[in-house]
Amino acid sequence: MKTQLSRRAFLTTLAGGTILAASGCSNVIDRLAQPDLPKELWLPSGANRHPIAHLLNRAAYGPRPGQLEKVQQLGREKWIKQQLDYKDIEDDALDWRLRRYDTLNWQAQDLMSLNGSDDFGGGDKDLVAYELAQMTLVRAVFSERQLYEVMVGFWTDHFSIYQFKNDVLYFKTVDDREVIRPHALGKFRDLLKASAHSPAMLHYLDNTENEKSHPNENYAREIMELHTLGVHGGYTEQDIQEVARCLTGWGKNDDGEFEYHSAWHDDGEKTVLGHVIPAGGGKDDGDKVLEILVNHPSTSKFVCTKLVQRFIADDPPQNIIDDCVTTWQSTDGDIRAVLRTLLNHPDFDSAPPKLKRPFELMASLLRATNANYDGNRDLIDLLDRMGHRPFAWATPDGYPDNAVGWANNMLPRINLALDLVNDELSGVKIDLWDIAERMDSERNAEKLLHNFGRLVLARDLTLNESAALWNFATNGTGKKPNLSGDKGRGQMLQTLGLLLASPAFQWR
Amino acid sequence: MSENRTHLLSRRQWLQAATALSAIGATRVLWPAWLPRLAFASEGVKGDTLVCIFLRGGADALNMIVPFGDDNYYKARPLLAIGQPDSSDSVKALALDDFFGLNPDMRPIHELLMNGHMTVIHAAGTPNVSRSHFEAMDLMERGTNGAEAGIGSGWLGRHLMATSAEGDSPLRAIGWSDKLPTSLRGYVSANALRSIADFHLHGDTRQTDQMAATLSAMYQESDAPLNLSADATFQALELVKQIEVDKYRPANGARYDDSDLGRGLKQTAALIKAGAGLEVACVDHGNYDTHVAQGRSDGLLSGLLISLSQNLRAFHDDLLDYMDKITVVVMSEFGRRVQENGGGGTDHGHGGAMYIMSPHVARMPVIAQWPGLNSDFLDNGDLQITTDYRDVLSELLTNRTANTDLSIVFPGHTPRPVGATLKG
Repeated sequence: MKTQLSRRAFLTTLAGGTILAASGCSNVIDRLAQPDLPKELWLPSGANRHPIAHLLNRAAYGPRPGQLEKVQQLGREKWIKQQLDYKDIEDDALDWRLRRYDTLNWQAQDLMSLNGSDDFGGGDKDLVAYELAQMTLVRAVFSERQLYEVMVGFWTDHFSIYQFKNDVLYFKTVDDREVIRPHALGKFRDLLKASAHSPAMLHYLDNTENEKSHPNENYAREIMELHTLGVHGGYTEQDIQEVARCLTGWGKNDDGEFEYHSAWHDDGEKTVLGHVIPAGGGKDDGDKVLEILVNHPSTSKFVCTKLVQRFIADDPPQNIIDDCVTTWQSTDGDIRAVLRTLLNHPDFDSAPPKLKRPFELMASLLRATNANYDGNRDLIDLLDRMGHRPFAWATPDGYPDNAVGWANNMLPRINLALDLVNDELSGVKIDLWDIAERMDSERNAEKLLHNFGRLVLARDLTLNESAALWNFATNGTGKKPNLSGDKGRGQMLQTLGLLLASPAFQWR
Repeated sequence: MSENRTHLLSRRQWLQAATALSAIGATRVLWPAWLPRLAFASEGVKGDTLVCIFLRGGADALNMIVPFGDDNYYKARPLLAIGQPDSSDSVKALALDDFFGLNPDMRPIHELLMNGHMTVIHAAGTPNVSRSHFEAMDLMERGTNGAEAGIGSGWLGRHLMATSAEGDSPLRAIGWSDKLPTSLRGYVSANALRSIADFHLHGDTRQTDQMAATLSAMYQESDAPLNLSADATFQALELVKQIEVDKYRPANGARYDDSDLGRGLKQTAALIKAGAGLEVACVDHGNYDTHVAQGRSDGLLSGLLISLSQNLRAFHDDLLDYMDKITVVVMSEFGRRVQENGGGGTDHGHGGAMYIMSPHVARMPVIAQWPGLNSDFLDNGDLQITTDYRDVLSELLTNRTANTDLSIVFPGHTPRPVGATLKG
């Protein structure tokens, strides 16, 4: 556990000027932290996407140049194992990049003290909300713990909390750090329990107002419908009311920490999903409910279905769900074990296409081009306009994870790639000529097109793709762009931008 | 209104005239500069063009459509209440009937309400009890009361899917904003446009056409639904290129203001007149979250109401000859608390009002099963909802569009008649 900088300590440091000085160095840090590329990039070929690229598109935020070869040499099973043992993966360069965000390690109390104050010269609430979102994107792009980040994203949607409801954002920073991240690759039981004790969740779903004389059923409903059993998981309206009674008094104190208010608790007898919870149980009532929900067979089915939907297909195949449920049940809901079954499943490689959501599209584009992103707010605003800012889905069901939810409004997706190659994304730098040299293609336009295709799509370009792109590159003349001149290089850059904007790159 | 109609050529007449004239090479003379010569058929539109205006922040329906016949209104709002129409108050409502009056800042639409071109459904809204803006807006735009989780699409998105057909316009559905409104989610061809002018491919502008052709060639071979979505996008780009909205001049002296609403409605009008096949347009207005300094004729709300009613009237006048096939609906995520607060404003409430502008509405300025403002009848201090917003929208879709299957638009909801919109 890292030491947590209190607000007071931070302000002291700020007064000392060290953080200001450090922020001036962030460019240097970014450059030092930028992943090294191999001298020669290995380029997969063939008509089908290389299976390791498929794995890295599903279990990570897309391959980086050179990563495919590394994972290939290591072996996919070993890579999966390594990724599951995420704590052993060194991630120092990422930690350096995250140092610029001040509020990530603050306690709720310190975060709440920002409310209404204006110490930083610009919207404190904004600062907290942005920093968490910025961190999430920076991690997706740069963390070596890719599967872990993907799973943090999955649970963030599963236990979705909307940052902008009242003061939720102060607690969401804590929820991300102390609920989602510690348990993302742990036991589902621990994750659910942590979430049920999370001030962010209790506040967001109004359990902080759940009192015996005025029961509020919001959280009781969602914990069954969205977090555990699923909407057809076999509970009744009566069960919702009883769970709400069990959870009366579960709330938070003035410091923004979990607190059980016994005076608010309904201490009568309850019956939840057929289990009698005797009178006088106090806070234990809620703990018993969590235990009942975790052990209910609907929970493993519901969560495994969502996992298969995330990693395999919008319409998740039943056989893979069944295999995951079997693992879940024999391991007491061990998320790592379930993922091992899922990612090593014989049907994994033949999974149908899954559309990247805007966040995944952005992260994978930056990864594929070895982009240096300085972690600024503008990309978060861009994600917002694309409808996918982290922690900004208003309702507790989390962002949809299917093509139907995201296939419209294509223009911003295409323009994202064009902006990237035209140096129009604020705070993002790429050097495609450096990549070209490492593919020994910097002097030959045709070779560059085909090799770049192999690099980012992990297969040969189709005849259609190469015809369309080459036609553009040559202005329909068939005459090769001259890469020793600015004009030819400019034209090739646009061509590679179109390749990155192509449909093949839109799929996970 | 009919006398005006003779002065305006309909789109079809334009097309006929243009076709006839182009044969002798004189098209340019008659054709307005902004109007593209599209082969695109407005005949493709299967019902009214639907314009949805969302008042963000929870509009105070009680001070917009004033229940001046309810004493409790005046008791609850000693500072903010709008005076009775026949009172000596300097700020008094314009009578709509013997119980409701219109906020005087909304005078431009008074005539429309009185003449059967517009109607208000009061005490309407979402039965969901959320008083969080975003949750309430989100649920309303998705067309669910929260019981059906996992509905990622919006009610308009599902409506568009249910009524889509071959030959639909690529500009069938537009949200005039940076980001796609939640209500349009789920329909692959829906686009978010800040403005028509901003809707273009980035990159080298000299090569835009070649870029679009290159992308289009690649997307044609993509898996569904990406191929469909991309196809619609490239067609829309092509269409938009031909419309010079800067040169658009509203008709009949209509004047839009420079708000998001004004710009959105003006561009909507331009697309409708261009026969671009627009079926649904979404526009947002304002920040109606008037917790403080709401005012009467001098506060935060006043300016919003002037802008709202002026732009609605401008749209109506501008499209006088087209209103027969246009329905505008205005809604907000919730109304505001009956009792004014200590800061000269109002807090989040429950029941609100919906407005429908169309020549095909009931000839009643206000439709309401008025629940009353007596504290016994309030819902936690708020106006009760006696009309589910989904009933209003269901009736509208049934009577004014070609949609015959509302079960996918509002799943789990059995619509009841409201009597606001009419067939024909």
